[in-house]
Amino acid sequence: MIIQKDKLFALLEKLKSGGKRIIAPTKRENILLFSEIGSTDEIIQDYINTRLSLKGFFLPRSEPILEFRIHQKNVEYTTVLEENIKPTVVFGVRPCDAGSLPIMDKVYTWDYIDEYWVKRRESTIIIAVSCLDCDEACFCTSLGLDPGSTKGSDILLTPVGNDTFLVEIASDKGKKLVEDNAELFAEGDADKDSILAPVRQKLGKKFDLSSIQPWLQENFFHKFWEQNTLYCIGCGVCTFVCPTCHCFDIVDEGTVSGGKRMKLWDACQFRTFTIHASGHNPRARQDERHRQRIEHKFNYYPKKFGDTLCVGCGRCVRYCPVDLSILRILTMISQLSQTGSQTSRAEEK
Amino acid sequence: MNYKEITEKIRERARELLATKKVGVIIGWAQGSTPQKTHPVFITNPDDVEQLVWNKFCYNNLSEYLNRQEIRAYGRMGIISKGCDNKAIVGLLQEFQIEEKDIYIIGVVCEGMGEPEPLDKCRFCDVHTPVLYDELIGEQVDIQPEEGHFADVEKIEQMSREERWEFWQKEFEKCIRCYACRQVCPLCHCRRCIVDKNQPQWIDLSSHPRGNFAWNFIRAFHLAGRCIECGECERACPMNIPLMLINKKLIKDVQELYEYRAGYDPKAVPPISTWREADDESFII
Amino acid sequence: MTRTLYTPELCEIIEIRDETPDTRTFRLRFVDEEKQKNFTFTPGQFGLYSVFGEGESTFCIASPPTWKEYFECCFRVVGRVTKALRLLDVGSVIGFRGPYGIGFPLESWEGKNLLFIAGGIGLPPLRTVIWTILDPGYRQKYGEVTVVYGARSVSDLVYKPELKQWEERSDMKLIKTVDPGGETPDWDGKIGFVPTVLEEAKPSSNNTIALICGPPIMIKFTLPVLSSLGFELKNVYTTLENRMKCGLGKCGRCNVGDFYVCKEGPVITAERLKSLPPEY
Ligand SMILES: Cc1cc2nc3c(=O)[nH]c(=O)nc-3n(C[C@H](O)[C@H](O)[C@H](O)COP(=O)(O)OP(=O)(O)OC[C@H]3O[C@@H](n4cnc5c(N)ncnc54)[C@H](O)[C@@H]3O)c2cc1C
Ligand code: SF4
Ligand code: SF4
Ligand code: SF4
Ligand code: SF4
Ligand code: SF4
Ligand code: FES
Repeated sequence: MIIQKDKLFALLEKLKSGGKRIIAPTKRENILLFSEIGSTDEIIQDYINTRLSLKGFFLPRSEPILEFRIHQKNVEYTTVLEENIKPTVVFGVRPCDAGSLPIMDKVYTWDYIDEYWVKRRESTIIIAVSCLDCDEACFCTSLGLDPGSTKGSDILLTPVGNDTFLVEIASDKGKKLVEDNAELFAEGDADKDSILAPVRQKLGKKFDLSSIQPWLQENFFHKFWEQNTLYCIGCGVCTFVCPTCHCFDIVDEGTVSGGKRMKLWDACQFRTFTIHASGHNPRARQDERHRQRIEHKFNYYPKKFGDTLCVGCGRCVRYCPVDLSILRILTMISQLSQTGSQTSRAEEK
Repeated sequence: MNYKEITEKIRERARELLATKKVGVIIGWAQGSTPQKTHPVFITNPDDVEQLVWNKFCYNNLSEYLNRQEIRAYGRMGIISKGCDNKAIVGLLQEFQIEEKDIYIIGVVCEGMGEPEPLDKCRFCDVHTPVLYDELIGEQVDIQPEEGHFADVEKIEQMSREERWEFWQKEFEKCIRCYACRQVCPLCHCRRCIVDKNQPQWIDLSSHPRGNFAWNFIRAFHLAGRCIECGECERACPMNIPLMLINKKLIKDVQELYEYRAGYDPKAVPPISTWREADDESFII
Repeated sequence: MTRTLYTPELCEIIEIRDETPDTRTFRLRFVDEEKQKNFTFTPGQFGLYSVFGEGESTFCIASPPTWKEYFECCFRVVGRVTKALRLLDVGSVIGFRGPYGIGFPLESWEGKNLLFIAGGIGLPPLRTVIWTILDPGYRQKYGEVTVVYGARSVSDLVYKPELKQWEERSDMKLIKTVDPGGETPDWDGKIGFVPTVLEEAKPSSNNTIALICGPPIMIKFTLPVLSSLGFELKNVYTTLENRMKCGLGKCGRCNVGDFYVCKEGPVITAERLKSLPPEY
């Protein structure tokens, strides 16, 4: 199945006038961000990826979860949870970002259900677009993903020439959307593999994922961490731009007579993240905090949920102010684990 | 001297300083993840000096690390220092954050960072040769700063109050409160930043307009007369917020009101820590 | 009313007791009577207590589940929320979420002797277990019960009236101690650090479970003593206090390696703890 670009935009306009919120990559004060569009003219189509991932639409940077009023000893409060979330369609999601959503689902449904995340997920349709280009920071292919993977998407579009997209239905939601708007889609096919061949080649395979977790399990105390991550300055950039980082804080805001309880993004890279009331800090050094990031993504999460807490979108690599590239860290670990096993083999002799 | 020669010289000096135990660590730049990037590096072993590089991409202000316990633990800190970074060392000395005996400054003459276009700050740079050093690498260059240092600030000043409000509203709306601007700043050295203080919670942590305004203005105000214009906050900001516009406005005001520019004289007393009868107080409402 | 996993219940403070100059006990009752009636938990579980406008704080539930009319927490005043809690009077309401986490496996200990070792404010998480097994319905299921409790000084001992009751009971043994210099003229307990006192007391490790809770330094020096007494690490239990926000395995703050303290803890065996990175 295929769809022409004008038909696709007509589809988005139609969904919009039918009451759906349409989110797409747009320019906002010089940066590319997902935001709600007023018209399809605002959509930017030539891009590697957006500055922030789309996680903010499911886990906002900050949001109230409780509102309260206090009069003397009495407290009245109400839970803040949008009951009728506007049905949303996100267009232009890259396959890496789409792939992050099922990864996050696992955390937010781990025994307890986080309704904030889940409800928004349920009311959102993801229309992803395969990548025909990448930059040096991208490494989805090294994580078992692909510039044309459908993980986490409802519909995946792969550009064929300038004005046509190959359509792949990746979920029931996607199926329904296509069926409901069948008149806009057309019969047709294209060779996805040959379309994606150049970008796949450019991406290559940058490290061996299977070597990472075993090395991490064995080398918590390795001097590698001090040697290669101590220059991390402990900002929140890598974690805030990351589609799979999900840590948050809960803080109260307001006055003596009332206020709100807020849920906010937080990051294991901050010094204050784990500090105890006694002043003791379980992760007192920056290299320890950075190790947590890598261990969480490539060891702890995989152990718990059988997947990797990273999709290789490369944002953290692009925007780290001190160029502490996770890609380089992983490549080094992958190499170390090889040379490590060689030494141990040599020792056996 | 060209970049390659300076790199060689840096390595040679680093090796010597480490081998003779004059310093415990050399803080410098190493080749980054792409040819257009470098990253900070701490060299403690003379055999590792080959990692050090000098090129047009040595953006990071390494003075940021002088105040970190983990780095101080290596012993006396040798730091490769270009002019703008160097001004931060002046600030740190003035504010008693470091002592001269704890550092050894290898100044490097800098012709500007960035390619193909130099960084904005480099166009107006008057410290191509650092002010403060124990030794200097490179030959003095005669590059005069361009005119119009504060042109961008003046443009904002000329806006109406409403336009200005709208301009900053739009910019600060983007702020995600990652605090990279603070973390990267060598002069943001408070042991506990005001935004981390919760008794009371001075600044809302939420990234709603109130919280973002409070955060961005307090950050800038706390650097009034202290910001040495290395531009690192703006470079680090993942949301491209023009933080230097606010910083430069304050630099301009401090210059006009108190005839003071931060980062040139370790013996000078900064206006924020002194009071003269003649001081302009018109900004106190 | 809409509720989410982060919505607290209201609880009224029905009694306040000062344990030490900086620790306080609240006796709490759910404002909703049904909630109070149905409230059950396992000793060792914790909750998130909140002062509206200041935030939430994590404390263990310090009373046993056998007390049905109310429950208790005991907190030390250290920061924003605990300072705000301290300002509240009887009759004020606070928020509560919980019980969360996994408590002590009391059932699997039936037929065994229990040795409790607590330091300072480490007693509350063990007190809930102690009162549970002292309950007539439970007591005969367990063997000997020994409590070793120490604090820096006499004024730092929490639950002083209860210590007296425990001393007077014939179905358990209490050894109380204060650090050298912390005694008062009328102090009738031991003088010495917990590990030393434990070493002298030489409790048998035979068929015995040890529960230990207190400042990290006490735990560090007590574990070797337990080993020398013949305790196996798998029979030694403690609780972790990593900083928490959600209590539900979502916010990513409390993990020690792949162990999420809020969901898989806070109770943990010394054996498991030894296999984790030292990030607690
Ligand atoms: C499972 C569990 C059970 C617990 N049980 C109990 C219990 O039964 N009783 C009890 O008293 N406690 C208990 N605790 C500890 C308790 O949760 C904390 O002491 C409490 O949450 C402190 O809250 P606060 O808001 O008062 O302090 P906060 O204001 O959050 O901080 C307290 C202190 O931490 C330090 N701090 C905070 N932020 C920073 C920063 N940015 N930089 C430097 N220092 C900082 C400061 O010294 C501050 O005074 C338990 C913890 C856990 C995880
Ligand atoms: S790795 Fe980079 S982006 Fe992440 S916290 Fe460290 S300095 Fe900031
Ligand atoms: S860790 Fe980096 S590359 Fe991986 S998903 Fe997060 S931002 Fe993308
Ligand atoms: S890497 Fe850090 S911020 Fe990201 S999910 Fe893991 S613990 Fe949270
Ligand atoms: S401001 Fe001056 S010293 Fe700094 S990088 Fe630019 S030219 Fe070099
Ligand atoms: S670096 Fe930018 S986005 Fe981050 S806190 Fe500073 S101004 Fe906000
Ligand atoms: S407290 Fe949030 S994950 Fe454990």
